[in-house]
Amino acid sequence: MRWLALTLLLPALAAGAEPPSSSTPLSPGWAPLIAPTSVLLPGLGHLLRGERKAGGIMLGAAGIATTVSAGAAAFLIFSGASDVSAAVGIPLLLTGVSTLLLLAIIDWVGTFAGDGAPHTVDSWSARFRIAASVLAPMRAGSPASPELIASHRGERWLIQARARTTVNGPGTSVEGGAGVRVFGYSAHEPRAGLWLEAGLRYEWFDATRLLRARAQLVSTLPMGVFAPRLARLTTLFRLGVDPTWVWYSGRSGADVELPLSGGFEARVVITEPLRLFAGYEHSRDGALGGLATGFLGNFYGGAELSLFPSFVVFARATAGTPNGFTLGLEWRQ
Amino acid sequence: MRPFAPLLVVGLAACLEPASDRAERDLDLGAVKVADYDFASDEGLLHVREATAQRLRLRASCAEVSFSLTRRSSGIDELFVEVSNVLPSFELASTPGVLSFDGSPVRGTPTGAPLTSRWRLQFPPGVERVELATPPRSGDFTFLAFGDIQNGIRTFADVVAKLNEHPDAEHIIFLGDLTESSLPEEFDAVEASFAQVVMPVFATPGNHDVMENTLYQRRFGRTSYSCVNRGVRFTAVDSSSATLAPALWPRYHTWLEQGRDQRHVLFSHIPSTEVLGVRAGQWSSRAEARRFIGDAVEAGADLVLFGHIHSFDAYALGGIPTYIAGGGGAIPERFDGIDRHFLKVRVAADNLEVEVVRVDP
Repeated sequence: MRWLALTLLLPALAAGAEPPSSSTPLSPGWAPLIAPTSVLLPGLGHLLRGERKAGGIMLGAAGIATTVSAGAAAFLIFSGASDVSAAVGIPLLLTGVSTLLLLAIIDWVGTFAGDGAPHTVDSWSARFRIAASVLAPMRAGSPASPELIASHRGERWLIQARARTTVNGPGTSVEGGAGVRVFGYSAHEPRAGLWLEAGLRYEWFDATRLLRARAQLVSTLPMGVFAPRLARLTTLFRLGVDPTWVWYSGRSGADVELPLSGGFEARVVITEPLRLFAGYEHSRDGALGGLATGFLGNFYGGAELSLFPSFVVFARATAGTPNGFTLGLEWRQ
Repeated sequence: MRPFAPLLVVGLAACLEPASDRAERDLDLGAVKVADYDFASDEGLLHVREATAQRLRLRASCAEVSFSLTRRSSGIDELFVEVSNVLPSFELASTPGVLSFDGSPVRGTPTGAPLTSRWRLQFPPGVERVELATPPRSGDFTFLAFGDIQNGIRTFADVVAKLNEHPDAEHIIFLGDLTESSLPEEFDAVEASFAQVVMPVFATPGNHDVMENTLYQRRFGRTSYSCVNRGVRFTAVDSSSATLAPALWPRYHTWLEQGRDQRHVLFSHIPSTEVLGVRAGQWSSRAEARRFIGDAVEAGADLVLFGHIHSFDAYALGGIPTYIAGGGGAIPERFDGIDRHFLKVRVAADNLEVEVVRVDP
């Protein structure tokens, strides 16, 4: 377990390396150059900033992630993504590519953030959260889906509940889950750590019934625990399975599916009331599916705006099948 | 302008959906209006390859078809209708005086091209609209099914030879991915190969066939359709974009309803749900896939056939026997114990029997 935690922490350890005294923030004018190159060479921005140790570790981590991703991709191509090879190759590919993209985001944020950035707490890690949202698929004839979410987090545990329906369309679901922190990253950040989360979702549409179980390892990492300069950045990485039982009308017995689930997300506090987030969702059993067949789920990005101390308005755009927009209001305490 | 902005965004999103584009275009295929006559095939099962005042060249997407011709000018008394991709025993029947004196079914004149026949139609005096159809047939029969030729076209002659060892089969159901990149020369090559097969091929496109999103339809006609052969309904569902176009759902429901009291074989390229969840070589939305199967289960569909995965799988979705047969020669899966292959499906009064035929030992 510690090995897995350390693997997930590697990017953060790199970014958290002690900056040399000569380190200076780069001008935003470098952004057009750094942004694309960081995808291929995460750590380049830190090197340009004069932080050789951090940049070097990030480049090393990116090298490992690239090797894992390329190896997994080559194995999949060679084997024709057969049943045997996909079971190994796809989780490796997902882990490798997720690490690369998270490294790139860490590099961007770490490159352009000032050393004296005030420590900001992302209210996303609040103990109580209740949200209401509406998802609008960008496809003619696809109905909107309102959703309610509530969660409560303790020091080492959390519980959450979710309900979603579709207006004038098929598909209603209720979901409950719980999590326990199995490895803490910081005594000051209760949400930071490696969590084991599990849940059950019951869904019905027309005459079809569905029960989805979920078990995931979730790494939640407020980057400020490693470097004050990264205090505005939080990363999440999730990996698990979603055993699912589907009962169709008039048939005895259930179809059993065992899809891989997971994804990653990066959240950046831009100003105290404004936060941006972007991520990838691998499982494709929501109202919005993946971008294509095969092992490609959907990508999303969005913003949160705190209107009052405890209320947040959020908007999210998702590139999936179909594409969609979500608008919601959340209470956090 | 501002109030219409959301509509414009939705409209733009719809235009960018290739599956929706194909579903819309499907409705324009299988019919034509020329100066002297209108042609319309039921369910668009006859794709118009050429239409002149004297000649109508069509390609069939099903063993049994029906169509109508409406005379628009008195200057036309007769028309040569040529239909390709038909069974050797293919016949057409019409009202007396159109094809035959007494209205009995008529077998066409071979044109020299494989599985292609020609009929000479006459518009009886005073008759503006004539209807023609394959006489309904019945009885047990056999068909073959497979998909995914792609870059395997270079060695596809082996598959053709093996297919021709089964002349008892009436036709082939092709499960998509004729080509690697949707190039015209690739379609030419695969059509030339299929010209060596002794039975017609009824197909639905795969994701590799719609990289250029119009060529498949221009050559072969509709991507989704439903028809009946010997009392068994065959329904092709275009899943080549890993989703069903919203416009296709009502048609799918209509076909399911029509097939409720018939044997019903559904075929499509990308599996709605495949066996191996980790790989997810299936539709992009699991919710949509379950809805597709749920509707098929409710309507009592009997068999589901998919391609896309370059291997063989036999499983059940909602209790419906389901097969993946992507054995046409595209890069095969390794370590799965099977190389090129196709399915042989025997349809009898009381059962459907599916056998795997290996091309490579």
